[in-house]
Amino acid sequence: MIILFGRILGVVAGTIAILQIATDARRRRIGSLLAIIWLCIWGLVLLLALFPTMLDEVIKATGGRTGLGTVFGTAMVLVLFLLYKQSQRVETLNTKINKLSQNLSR
Amino acid sequence: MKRLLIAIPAYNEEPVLGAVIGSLPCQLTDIDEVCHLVVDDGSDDATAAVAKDSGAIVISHPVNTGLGGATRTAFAYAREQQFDFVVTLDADGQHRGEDIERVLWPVLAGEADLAIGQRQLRLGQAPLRRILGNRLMNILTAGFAHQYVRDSQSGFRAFNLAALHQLDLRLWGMEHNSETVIQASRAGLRVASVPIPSIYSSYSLKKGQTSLNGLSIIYRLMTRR
Repeated sequence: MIILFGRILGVVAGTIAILQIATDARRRRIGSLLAIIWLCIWGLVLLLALFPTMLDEVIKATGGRTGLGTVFGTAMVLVLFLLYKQSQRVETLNTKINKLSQNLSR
Repeated sequence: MKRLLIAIPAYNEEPVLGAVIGSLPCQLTDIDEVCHLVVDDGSDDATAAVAKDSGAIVISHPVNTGLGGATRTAFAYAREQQFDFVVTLDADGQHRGEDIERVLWPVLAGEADLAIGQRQLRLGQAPLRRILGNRLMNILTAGFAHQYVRDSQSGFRAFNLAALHQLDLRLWGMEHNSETVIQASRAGLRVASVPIPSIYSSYSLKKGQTSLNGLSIIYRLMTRR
C-alpha cells in the first residue's frame, strides 16, 4: 500500500512539476538552462516513480536493505518539489530587492 | 565637448578607497571634463563618507546588489548625465589611476568600443590559483562569446557611448565581467585589450574572487535570463 502510494505521489508530483517548469520557462520566470536542468531532475524522478525497482537495485548495490527505495524515492520527490519552489521564489525575490535598491539610490 | 565618468563600484572599501580616489586623474588629454563616481553598494562601513570626503559623486544602494548591479547603476548615471565615455575600475587598489589614459586610448581614438585593462598575471606576482582561475574563466567566457579576451575578469574597462547603449546587462554579481564581454562580442562591438600592471596587496587578494565564486559565475552565466 505504501509502495503504491509512493509511486502515485511520484508520478503526480513529477507531472505537476514538469508542467510548472514548462510554464515558468515560457513566462521567463526561470532561465532556459535552469529549466532544462530541473526538467532532467524531474524526468528522473518520474522514471524512478514508474520503475521503483531501479532505486532498489542501486540501494542493493551499495549494501543497503531492499524495499527502502520507495520510501527514499517519496522523500526525494517531496524535498525536490520544495527545493524547486523555494529556489524559484528566492531568485525572484533577490532580483526584486536588487532592482528596488537601484531605484531607491537614484 | 568630451566628458568622461570614472566609476568605482565599492562594497566595504573604507580602508583603501580614499587613496584610490586620490590617485584618479582630474584632467586628461583630449577630455574636457572628468568626473569621479563611487557607487556604494550597500556597504556596512564608512565607504560612502570616505568617497564623499574625497570629492567623488556618491550613489548609495540601500542593500548590496553585487558588482553587476553597482556597475549598471554607474552606467545608468552616465547615460542620464550624457557622458561620452565611462571608465570602471576596482575599489580595492588593484588598479593605478595613472593607467586610465592608456586603457581609455583605444576607445577615445575610435579603435574600440570597449577596452579592457589586461592584468599581467605572472607567477610570483599573483597566486597560482588566481592565475589558473583567471585562465579558466577566460576560456569559459570565450566559449560563450566566441571571442577570446585575454583578461575577461578585469574590472578596469573603458566604454564609449555606443557600448553603453547597446549592452543590456542583467546579471548582478561578479559574473557581470564575463557577461559584458559576451554581450559586447554578440553585439558586434569592438573589444580591445590593453596590458596594464596590477598591484596585488594582501588587501586586494583578500577582496578577490574565490574558487566557489568562480563556480557561481559559471552557473549564473549558464542560467542567465
